[in-house]
Amino acid sequence: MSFVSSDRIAASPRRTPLLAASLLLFLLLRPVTSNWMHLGLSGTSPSLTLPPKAPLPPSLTLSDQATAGLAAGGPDLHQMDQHHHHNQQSNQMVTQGSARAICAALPGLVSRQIQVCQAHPNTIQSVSDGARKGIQQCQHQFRNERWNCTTKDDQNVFGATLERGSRETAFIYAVTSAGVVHAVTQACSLGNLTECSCDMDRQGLPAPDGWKWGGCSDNIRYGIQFARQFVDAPEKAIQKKPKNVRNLMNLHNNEAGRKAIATLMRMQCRCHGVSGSCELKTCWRTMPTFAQVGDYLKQKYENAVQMKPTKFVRTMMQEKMSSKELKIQSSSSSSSKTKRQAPLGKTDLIHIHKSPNYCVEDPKKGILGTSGRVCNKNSTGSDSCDLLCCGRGYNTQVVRHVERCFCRFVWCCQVKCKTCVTMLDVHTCK
Amino acid sequence: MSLFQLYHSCIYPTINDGLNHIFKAVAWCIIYRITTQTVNIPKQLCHVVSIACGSMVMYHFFGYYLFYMLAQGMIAYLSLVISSSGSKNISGWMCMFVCITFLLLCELFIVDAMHWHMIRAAQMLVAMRAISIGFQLDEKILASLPKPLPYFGYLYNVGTVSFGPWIPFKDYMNIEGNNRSLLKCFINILRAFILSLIFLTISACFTLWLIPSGSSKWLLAYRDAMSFRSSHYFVSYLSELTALAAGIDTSTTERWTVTVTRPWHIELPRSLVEVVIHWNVPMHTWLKTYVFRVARPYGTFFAIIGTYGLSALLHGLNFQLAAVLLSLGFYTYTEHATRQKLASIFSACIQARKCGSNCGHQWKENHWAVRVCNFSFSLLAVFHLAYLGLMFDSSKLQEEGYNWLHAIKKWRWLNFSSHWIVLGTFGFNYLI
Repeated sequence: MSFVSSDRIAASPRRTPLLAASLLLFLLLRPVTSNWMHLGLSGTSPSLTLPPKAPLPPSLTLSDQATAGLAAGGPDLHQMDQHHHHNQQSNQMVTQGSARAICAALPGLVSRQIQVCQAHPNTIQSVSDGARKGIQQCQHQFRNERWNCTTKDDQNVFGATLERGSRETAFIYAVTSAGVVHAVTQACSLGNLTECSCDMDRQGLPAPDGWKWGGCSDNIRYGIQFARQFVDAPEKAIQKKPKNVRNLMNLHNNEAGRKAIATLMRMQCRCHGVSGSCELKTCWRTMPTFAQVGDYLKQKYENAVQMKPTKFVRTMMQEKMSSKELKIQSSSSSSSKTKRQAPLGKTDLIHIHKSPNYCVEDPKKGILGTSGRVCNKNSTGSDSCDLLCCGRGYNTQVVRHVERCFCRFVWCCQVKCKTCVTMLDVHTCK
Repeated sequence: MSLFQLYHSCIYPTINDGLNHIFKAVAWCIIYRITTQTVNIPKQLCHVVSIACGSMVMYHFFGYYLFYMLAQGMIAYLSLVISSSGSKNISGWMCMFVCITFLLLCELFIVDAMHWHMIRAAQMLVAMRAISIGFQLDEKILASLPKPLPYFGYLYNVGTVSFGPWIPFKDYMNIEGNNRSLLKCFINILRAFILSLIFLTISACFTLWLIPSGSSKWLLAYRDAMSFRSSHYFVSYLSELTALAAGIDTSTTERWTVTVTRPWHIELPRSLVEVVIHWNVPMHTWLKTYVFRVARPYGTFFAIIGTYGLSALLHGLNFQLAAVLLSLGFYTYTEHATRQKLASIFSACIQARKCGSNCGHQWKENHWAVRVCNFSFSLLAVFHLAYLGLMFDSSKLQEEGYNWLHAIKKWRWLNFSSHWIVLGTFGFNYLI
């Protein structure tokens, strides 16, 4: 996926639809490069098609059947998923030659990613898991919103949403990046990967307060480094300088996703000593659950910062000023005229464009609209029928729901249940 | 979290950490033992080696803060020299006064909170050793003040400097003559090692895994208290390990048993009095010998409160510890008095401590009613233990020492129920 060059981004609102259309056309004309996110989809239900962070199709760690399937390309990705589940055990060992062939044949990877893939064939499996986690979490977090993070079955997972540069784009980049870190780190901790091991430089390193602690930290560093190499590769592959703001935005959001996990890593320590003193301390670090990461990033999404893609901003981002020094003229996302001077944190999400109106279906922009979504009449949140259907109203359907109820255990050894029939109202948006 | 995940994320790093520390301590103990007990070297050199190895262990655990311990030892020796050259027998009291003043000064003014919390226990042990020498001088158990080398060798002996246990001076002087039945020694060392690791994992991992965060108030209290008690058992068995490895043998009946704690008497206790006795056997001996017996002539209640108060002072001016210790003092006194009265009224063996064989009661220990009664008192004691121990949790304050706000907050969370119950028992005691 290429990104719009900088001069196009500064378009005025009137030219935006034209811009989007030309962008889409431009994208359609290019060879379809699945970004690495599609790897998450080719795993299980959500399509793994992630943007160019080429996740390996699950069949990567693969047997020969899978290799054959891979050569066939896209439509066989689903088949490969099943092969993937079958061949999970045999996944781990990939010969050098097959790794080269498979990595090179993956669609949507830039050359740096193919190199990383070839160098660490076993870790790519975790990348695909991570992408899938990210997509699932995205869909979970947005299940009650107008835009609910639906994916498409082709190799461009999110369609035009990914191109738009809105808050949703920021979230997608952050959550998939975090997913890769999470999956790789977990795989390392469980010992599934041979390429990482416990952070050896933590052993016996005197911590600032004089304690010496050893122990096996979750190997988050390997996960972050690997994710940085792999996930950031397409953005960094763009050779021309100055990089456009869109690339910088993606890089920043990727880093925000990774930092989110690092922030949430908890260190749990227990003091030991006579009468409750603290002569000895034993510590261990635990990874947050990915749901916690998702909640954290959703908070960041709510407070995402919109940045004007001016030259000033561009140079500042390029010079990689530290977050404390970075005072950006940014308008708050609630579109007031006030500009705030605020330092941009490393875990804040930034976006360039406002989100479009997700109410009305617009296939050119890749918006699915909200008609047909199930809404909740009694809720007051964003999934209430007023907000979700955008005032269009809703259809009510009475659905006969049959289920087993009042189950009892009869000695011996059956479970006898009665059948309950309830009539449920299902409201769908018009 | 499955057992496998628990192993990887918690048990393995914790044991790794623990072994790191254990090996360093035990290695120096073994070096000391080999140097002083396998070959014949002059006594003076033995003391020097003891001080040197002890200093290495102190440096490993405390860094440069070991100088506070050295300072305390020297100041205590000075006070002993001054008081023993006089005619009155006040060496013990003066040494106690000097040591406690030093501890309080360090805590309040000199050392920062986190590091004081780290060295607090070892300082207390050094003070206890010096005070015991002072009292022994008074009672003429020791003929004269020991020379500096044996004194410092005793104070900083590698087997007892880091976690204890407190040993009397004569046990230190008898170290060299101990080299028989080494197989039993080795077996006991192994037993102490394995038990310490088991209690370490229980404290750091299993309690958190068995009772997750969403449980009821009292289950959580029991879990935190259990974690604290397991941590205490870990440290106690570790101290046993270092003492045995250094060749210290305090036992009178069997060879090579250094008993510091008896977990079974604490987990399902007969009463809180038993808990206090078996919590730290050497320290209990010290308190009984040098504080309780001295204060007994002034009244039992005053003696008990005085003992616990002094113990709190030795631990440093930590409100939480002082609150727990004084509460314990009050609880044990109430329990002891009440159960004594009840035992004499009903003539049954339901006292706080186990009856002897010739107790003169009508209902003996194995009668079913007596057993039921004692069991219910046990459950009450478990409840009190959970209440008292839950404050030593793994929150951020654990490194600096817990302050009074934390203590009161935790007790208020449980509505001070345990305190009310004991107050009620105390009132009941006065009525009958």
